[in-house]
Amino acid sequence: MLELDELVEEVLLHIPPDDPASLLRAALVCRRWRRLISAPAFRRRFIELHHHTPPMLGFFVGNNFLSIADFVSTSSIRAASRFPIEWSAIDSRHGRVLLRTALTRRLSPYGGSNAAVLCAGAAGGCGHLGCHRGHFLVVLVGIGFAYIYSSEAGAWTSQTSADAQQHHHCRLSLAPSVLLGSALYFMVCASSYDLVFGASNAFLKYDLDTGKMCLVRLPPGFSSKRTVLMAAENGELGLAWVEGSMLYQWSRNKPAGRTDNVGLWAQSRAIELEMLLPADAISNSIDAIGSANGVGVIFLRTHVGIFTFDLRSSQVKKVSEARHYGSVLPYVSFYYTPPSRPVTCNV
Amino acid sequence: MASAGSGDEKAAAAAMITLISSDNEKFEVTEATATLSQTIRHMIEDGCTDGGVPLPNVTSKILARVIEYCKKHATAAAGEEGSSSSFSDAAFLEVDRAFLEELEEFDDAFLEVDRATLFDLILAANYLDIKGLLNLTCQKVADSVKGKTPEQIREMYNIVNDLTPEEEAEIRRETQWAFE
Repeated sequence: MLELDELVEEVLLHIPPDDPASLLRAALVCRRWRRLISAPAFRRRFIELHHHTPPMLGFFVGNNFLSIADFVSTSSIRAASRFPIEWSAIDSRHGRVLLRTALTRRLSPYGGSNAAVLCAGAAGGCGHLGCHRGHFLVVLVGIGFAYIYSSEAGAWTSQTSADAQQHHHCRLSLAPSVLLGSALYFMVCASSYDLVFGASNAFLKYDLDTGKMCLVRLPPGFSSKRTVLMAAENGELGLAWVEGSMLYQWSRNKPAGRTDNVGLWAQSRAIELEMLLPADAISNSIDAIGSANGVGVIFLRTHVGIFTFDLRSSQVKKVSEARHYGSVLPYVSFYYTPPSRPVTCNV
Repeated sequence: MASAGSGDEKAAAAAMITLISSDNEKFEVTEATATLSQTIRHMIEDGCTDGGVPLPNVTSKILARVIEYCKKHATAAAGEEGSSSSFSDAAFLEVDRAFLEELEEFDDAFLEVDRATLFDLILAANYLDIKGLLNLTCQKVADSVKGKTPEQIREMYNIVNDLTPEEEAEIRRETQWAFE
């Protein structure tokens, strides 16, 4: 009865993006369905219908930022395999995950640096909806220096920046960076405890286009609590943290006419979690431990497990029973069919 | 403002369009209802609706249902425009929410049809280019595929499996997790 290709396509396009398993099973129904689902045109329309907004398929999680290795699915995908035991995820963006091995961890001469992975076309208007097999950059950043690996050139280049070198006593936190426009933002912290667990009092802005780096202090009072750097709803840089049972969100608003890095921080939201979280999750030890940019989700750690808080719907959802996990790295991407094994690239 | 708005509504209410089904049944609908269909909207814009709009691909049974949907959703669209021009206090928001809930209930009840009717509605929504109805009906079929095995989907929709065992094995091997 569903004899018209166009209408089968219409129907299959309505399978939710966070249910790639259903789409894969549909691809096994018959040849026509398989051909339809694996056509580039289907992919394009699927992305369009779902508003160019990739879903969060799951998140990598670990006790701290040095041990992010477990994958928790928040969709119908199941991780095919675990990383080798000595590997840890340090960043994820544009459908890719950046991993470090025990070797790089131990031998890294750049203590206090962090790294980001991004599509090589980030500046050229790539929509990042299917570029995960294309060329990429790995950006290793510390205070006053940056090393950039281009998969296209197959080589590293280095940049030093005098602007930030006066702050050489600071270190970059290992918390995931935020990409806004052509700039990467990293949390900065003063102690090695903060380095691993994410408290902070400043952030570093590194502009990929100009190579410029600058250190920006957070408003006073931020340093005592674990703070999550995120992309705010207004497209500017945002911060989130929990105090007691209140989740606070701040965003930076550039005063009109200013092109420098001075921004005004303002509280954009204060959310009482007591009404949203189950009663047994409420305590004085709730922390914001991460955010999924683009999908508007903040991760909350409580003593009964990890919850996601949806900034748009204000809905809270338990995503893990684990209480010892302290660091998360969301995986936000459309799932692409036909699938194949993950491609790994040693940089 | 308010008097101009109600004047427009009256003018819109006065403009009636005749839709003619494949089995020659005539349906009188307001322009506001008819223009939920982009296909009919374009016909009105081109001035070719005098003497009625023949819809040779849609039976009277299906057209009646489509019109039922459009009437309800055209009222919803008019309601939205109305509330945006008036100041929105809590009472208005409450009314909006109640109306949205009612609309959702309507949609749920509207989809309580047999599979053949559902497919005919998809075909009609596609032909008449009614985005909301196409999304609604396609979503209903897509939901029915959720969690089903390929075998169950084939059985549900009378589809013959023409994949070779090799092709099938290849897809399964690469995406084992989806079939566990």
